[in-house]
Amino acid sequence: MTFNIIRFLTILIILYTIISQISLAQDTEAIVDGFFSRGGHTNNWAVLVCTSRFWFNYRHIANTLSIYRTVKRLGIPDSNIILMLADDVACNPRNAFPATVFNNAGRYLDLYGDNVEVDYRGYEVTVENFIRVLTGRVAPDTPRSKRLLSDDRSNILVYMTGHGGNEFLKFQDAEEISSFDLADAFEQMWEKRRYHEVLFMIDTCQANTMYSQIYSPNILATGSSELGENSYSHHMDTDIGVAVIDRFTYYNLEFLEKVDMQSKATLKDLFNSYNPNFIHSTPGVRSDLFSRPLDKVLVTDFFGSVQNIELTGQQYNISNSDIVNETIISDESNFKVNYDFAYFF
Amino acid sequence: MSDTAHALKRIRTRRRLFRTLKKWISKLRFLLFAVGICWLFILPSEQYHKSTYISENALLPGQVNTYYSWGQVHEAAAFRDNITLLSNSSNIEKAAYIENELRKAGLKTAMQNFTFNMSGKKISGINVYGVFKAPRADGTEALVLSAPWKSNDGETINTNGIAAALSIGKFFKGYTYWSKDIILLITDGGEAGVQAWLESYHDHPRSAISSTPLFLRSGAIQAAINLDFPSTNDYKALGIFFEGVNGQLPNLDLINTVIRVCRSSYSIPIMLHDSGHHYSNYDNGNYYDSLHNLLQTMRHQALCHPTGSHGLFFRYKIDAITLYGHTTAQTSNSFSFIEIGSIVESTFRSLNNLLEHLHQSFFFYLLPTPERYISIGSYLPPALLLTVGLILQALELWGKTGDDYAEESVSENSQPESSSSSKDDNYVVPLPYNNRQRQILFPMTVLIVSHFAGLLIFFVITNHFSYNQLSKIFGIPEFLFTLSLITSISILIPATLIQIQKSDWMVLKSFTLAFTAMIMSCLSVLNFSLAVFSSLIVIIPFSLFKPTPKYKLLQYLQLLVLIMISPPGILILSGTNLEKFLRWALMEYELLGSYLLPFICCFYWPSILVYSVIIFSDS
Amino acid sequence: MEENNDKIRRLIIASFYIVILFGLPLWWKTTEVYRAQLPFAEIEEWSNWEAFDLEFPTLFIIYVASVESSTINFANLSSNLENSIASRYNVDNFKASNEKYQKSMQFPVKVRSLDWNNWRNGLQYGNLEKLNVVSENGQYILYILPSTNSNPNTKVLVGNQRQAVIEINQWDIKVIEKTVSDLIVSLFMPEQAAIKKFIMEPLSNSKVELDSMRTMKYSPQYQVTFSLMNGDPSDLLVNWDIEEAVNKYLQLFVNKISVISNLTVDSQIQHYARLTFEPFHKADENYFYLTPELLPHFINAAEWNLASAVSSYPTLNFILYVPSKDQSPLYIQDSKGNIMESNAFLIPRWGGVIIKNPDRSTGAHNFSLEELKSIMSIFITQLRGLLGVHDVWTEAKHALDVTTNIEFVTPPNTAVTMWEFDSLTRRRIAENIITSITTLKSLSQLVTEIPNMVVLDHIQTEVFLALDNLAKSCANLHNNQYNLALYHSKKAIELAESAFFDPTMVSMLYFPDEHKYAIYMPLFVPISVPLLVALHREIKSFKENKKAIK
Repeated sequence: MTFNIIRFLTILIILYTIISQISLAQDTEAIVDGFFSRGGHTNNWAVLVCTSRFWFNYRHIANTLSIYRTVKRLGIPDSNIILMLADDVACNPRNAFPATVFNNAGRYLDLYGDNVEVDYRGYEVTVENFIRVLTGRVAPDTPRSKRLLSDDRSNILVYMTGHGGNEFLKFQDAEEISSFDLADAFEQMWEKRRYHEVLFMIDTCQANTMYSQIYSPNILATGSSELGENSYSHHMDTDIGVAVIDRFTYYNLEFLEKVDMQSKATLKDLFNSYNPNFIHSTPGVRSDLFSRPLDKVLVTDFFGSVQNIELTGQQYNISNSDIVNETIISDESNFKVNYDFAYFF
Repeated sequence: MSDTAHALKRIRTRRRLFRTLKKWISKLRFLLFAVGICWLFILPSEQYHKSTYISENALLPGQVNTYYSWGQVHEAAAFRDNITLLSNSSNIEKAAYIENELRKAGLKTAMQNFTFNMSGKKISGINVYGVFKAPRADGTEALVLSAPWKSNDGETINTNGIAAALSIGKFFKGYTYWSKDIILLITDGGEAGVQAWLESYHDHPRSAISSTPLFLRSGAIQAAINLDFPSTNDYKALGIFFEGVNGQLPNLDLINTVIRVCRSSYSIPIMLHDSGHHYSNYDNGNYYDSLHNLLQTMRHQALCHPTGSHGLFFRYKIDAITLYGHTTAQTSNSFSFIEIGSIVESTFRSLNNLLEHLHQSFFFYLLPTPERYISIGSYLPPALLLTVGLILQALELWGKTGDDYAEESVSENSQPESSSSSKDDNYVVPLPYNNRQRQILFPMTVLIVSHFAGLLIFFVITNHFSYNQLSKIFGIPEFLFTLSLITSISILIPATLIQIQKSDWMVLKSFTLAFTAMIMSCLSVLNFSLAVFSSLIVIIPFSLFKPTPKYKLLQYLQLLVLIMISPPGILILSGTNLEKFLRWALMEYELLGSYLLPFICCFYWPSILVYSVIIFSDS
Repeated sequence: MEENNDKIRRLIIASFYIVILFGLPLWWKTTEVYRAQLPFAEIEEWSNWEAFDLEFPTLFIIYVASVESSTINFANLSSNLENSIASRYNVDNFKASNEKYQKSMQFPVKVRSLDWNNWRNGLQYGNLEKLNVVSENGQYILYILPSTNSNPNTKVLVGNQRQAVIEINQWDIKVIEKTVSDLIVSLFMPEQAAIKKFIMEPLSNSKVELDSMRTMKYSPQYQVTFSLMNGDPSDLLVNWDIEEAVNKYLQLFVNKISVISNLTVDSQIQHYARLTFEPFHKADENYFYLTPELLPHFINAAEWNLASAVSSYPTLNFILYVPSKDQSPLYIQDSKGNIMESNAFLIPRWGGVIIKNPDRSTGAHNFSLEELKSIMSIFITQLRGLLGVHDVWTEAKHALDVTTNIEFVTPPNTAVTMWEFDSLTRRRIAENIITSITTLKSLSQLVTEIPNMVVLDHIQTEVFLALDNLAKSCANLHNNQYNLALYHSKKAIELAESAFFDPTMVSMLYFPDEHKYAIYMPLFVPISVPLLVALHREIKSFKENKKAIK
């Protein structure tokens, strides 16, 4: 009889334990109130690279600065943006409008403005520095603004523009980065979990070949033209005398200008808006390495910086060391009597 | 097989090869020559041309708005009127006016006096130039806008050109987008003025020009545009002059830029030089127009004569062209200051975009039409084909004078007939080859002496004006004195050589042919036109002439032809004044460094002398 | 004569080949890339769970009050407790599919039950301090008393110094066992679950997991910045006594945590810190409010200068925001529509924000030390969350059944109790060890994959030292020396990261084989052709000679 009771009790205990475990696991989720993005990332970074110099490559610098303005507008702070510009066209003596960079012949928006922070400028934009930034292997004396301090919950936007070709991208007229180097750099980032997800966007001639060799997971890539195709500039500004924006970036900006911080636009919408007839080349998207479906990925997951929020309900009461009496929370006087020595604990 | 067997086999193969060559060589020669000539005549045909294109991506011609407008045109008209008033004033007054205007425009100005003393003639003048330092650049590079006082015919005043240059210079000062300094140069005294300025600017005293040193300088000059718009009327077509000293040409991109600029904004007909067809948009002319343009270019290049002030800039690695206003073309529209100003402004904006000297496009080309070109890879083969024949003939002659091989092969197992044969006691086994020594010493002497004679002639010509005193003693003008000296040298020396010659002429001819071929082929790369013309004149006589001691008549006929193709002969036949030509060639040599005179005296003339020795030698 | 010639010729050809024979290895050696030897096998062992076995031993000393009416078999009690706790530890949601994992990570529990004779004395006269006051991580003392009132619930009082007092109503050994094991499991289970999860899937982060998303990644140093943002200084100037507040309220916490990570603290005041959007306006009650959907855009990163240019260590930003007059008073509503009392929110892995609406009558406001006390409490709560200090009380309360009343003594002014600190230490040790192992594994993979990469000596040294420290850390864990284990794990991760992120390890750029051929062929092929032809001729003539001789 007692044996049965014992058995019954044991079963009860076991049952209770199981239930309590389950409830324990569920409960921890429900404790916190707030706003959470479904993507799983907590911070955003952007690495924007313009690889060509010289005055007639004005449009590449304008491309990069346009994307810079967009990501800043959507919330990524300067400390999380690495901006690499290989040449300074704003202060080039040939610039008829000094200290400005425009991406539109109407000159509505000065991209350079008074709030631009260029991290790598001029001759510092090299293949080696680019790979060092991505993999984190910078020299010990590199300042904080030149480091990519991302972690395993960072979404990174990598945007590159310049002159390119079949599986290479030209840096500054003197060297090249191949698609294999890029793929290896991303793999190193993955090994060390330096990113959560990456959106790689590239606007050059034959751009789609550049991302063909990537093999690390969680990378989404898009390029402006296929193998054998050129990427074209959109229009010229005849007062400045150069082309001011490329087509692929122009149509990207057209879409992104309608996106604000609260927007629910997804990357699928962005990619669907690409029209090869307007872009004059075939843009491509590579999503086989990307785990989430594109219609669930918000544009602001990469271009903006939407953070999770947890509302702070409880407070932690700091005690003052000289007050002892307040220490007891109980409401039973019995406790009070017996446990005056609580401060021992 | 043993070693001797191997060797024998090799000798046999070689001999067979030579025999085949000898059979075909003379035929091949004529074939090559014929092909070369025909190819030269194919050059102007349209299928042979390629369209010009802009190689340097930085230029972006015609893509920027120009702002040269009616305000500037009024200013240019005012300048024009003032210059017309000054047309009879002295050099100093003219220079002072220009300097004043430049200073009023805000440029830093300077003047340069220069004098060029040559052969009794004295050229002197005053250059004026102004420098506009680009406000935001570092001044290490500069662009030049120049206009000479006299147009290219030497007589008309370049009124519109100077007026346009002044107004454009003043207009440029108002903008800050220049990355290079702008130098505005008004030269005097024709080519002498430009040469004086360039030599002083680069601190390179080359010629006998004495000039005041320049203290106002800018950076290294990247390119120059020369304006030649004579007189005060409107123009019908825009002419482009681009040949320089010694046939050097500017980078093709510079010409392409100007033409693109014209085509994109205006429908101004363009012509090359100042004669021939003027090309409107989408017009490529026909074969004869292209032939005319090519012949004009080749004429200027063969004479090593620059077609404008721009030609003097090439020595300093500066690309330059001259824009000329042509008045007599048959078109209905005309253009004036506003088009000139816009074209120059747009060209300068394109040049402004450059980061380094133009280097992407061709430096060796022929322009049959303004928008079609022939690159050196396409026009060089005919020139070389013409000279290959000479080389083959030289080799043939050399072979002939060498060891002589019997025609039948000798089997190695042939035995002499047994001595017991009763047929012929004195039968001697014929040798399979004939051993002959070549006489090298004498041909070399002939060559060296005749080249020395050429040098002597050159020396006499370049110094003949110092024989002032001597000639006064003889009572004849200097020129005749020089001429007589030259003639005596060119007769005496061959005569002496003929007397002492001993050996056969074939080695000498072979050497001469080889030497000529070498000179011509080297020259064809440097100065295609001079090489082609010389080859065409010289090839047929040189290959056909040989001594005919039996037929005296033939010998003297050959001598006559030789005299006809010698330099004085050519000049007399073409009807040019010997004295004027001599003075002109000498001045070009001394002032500009043209090598026409040295070439004629040191390479062409000695060959003629050597051939006169050949004609009169024993067979 | 001929043989002489032949011989000489053959000697000459042979000499060429001899030079090539000697030259080849010399060339190979001199064009080698310098690669110091890394202990790949050892790293492989560690990453395959073979070399390390993590143990987090805990020792519970239970003082059971001696009550006359019952006798308790302490040995039985100890072993029963041990068994029941061990069995409960092993029943969990994560079905360990990995056998090896089971073997190499354990949470052994030891229980020692002792008789507590003079418990009434000790309680009443404050003599508890004469009993063993333990201050070592991993050893905990539980005091079990019979309850003195009729409350049927069990009462538990958890102290701050690794001690707890349990008042049991039913003085029965079964009840005692059950209560004690419940308590222990509830206090330690969440931490174990987290550690297990971390070990099982150290690098998976695809799911939205609040805990791992909130906690900062381990860094030996953090920079904490307190910012006072004033929306519009033209109608209200604000100031705060932050330095005193930090010294008074935060310093002890910083000191306590410094064993795990250093915190450097600075502060700033920014004016004209406007929001990028307009908050909602509740017209009838005349206040402005923000909903959780708007809060993600609160931080105006473009204009608020929050970046630190000084250090490369992770930054934690805490902002006290004073809205401008036309947006006052500003409150935060939770998702149900109620105004939050604390008016604060936390941004995971970034920091926290509090919105305060001070009195505007005087045109200037200084946050005094007393005012800052409540503000600092909120900040400290947020800081604890960001650093990974888990509220033991919240989790435990949920774990126990309703019949148990668990109370916690007021947390000390160091802002972290020893239980929490222990838990944090253990988690960080586990995290550091696992991260070091994965870093070393990545390093070895990288070095193997890219044969052209130079590996210098100091990297080798660092790798060896890291492995050494890992071994020491695990050994320390076995011996219950948690502090030493933490120290060694910190060193291990530092060394591993420094080796992995060494600036000399930028891999050589892609140099495909075709390029190598293109470079070497023009050098070697022209030389080799005459050599081969000569050899061929020699061999042919040799063979013919042989034939001729025959």
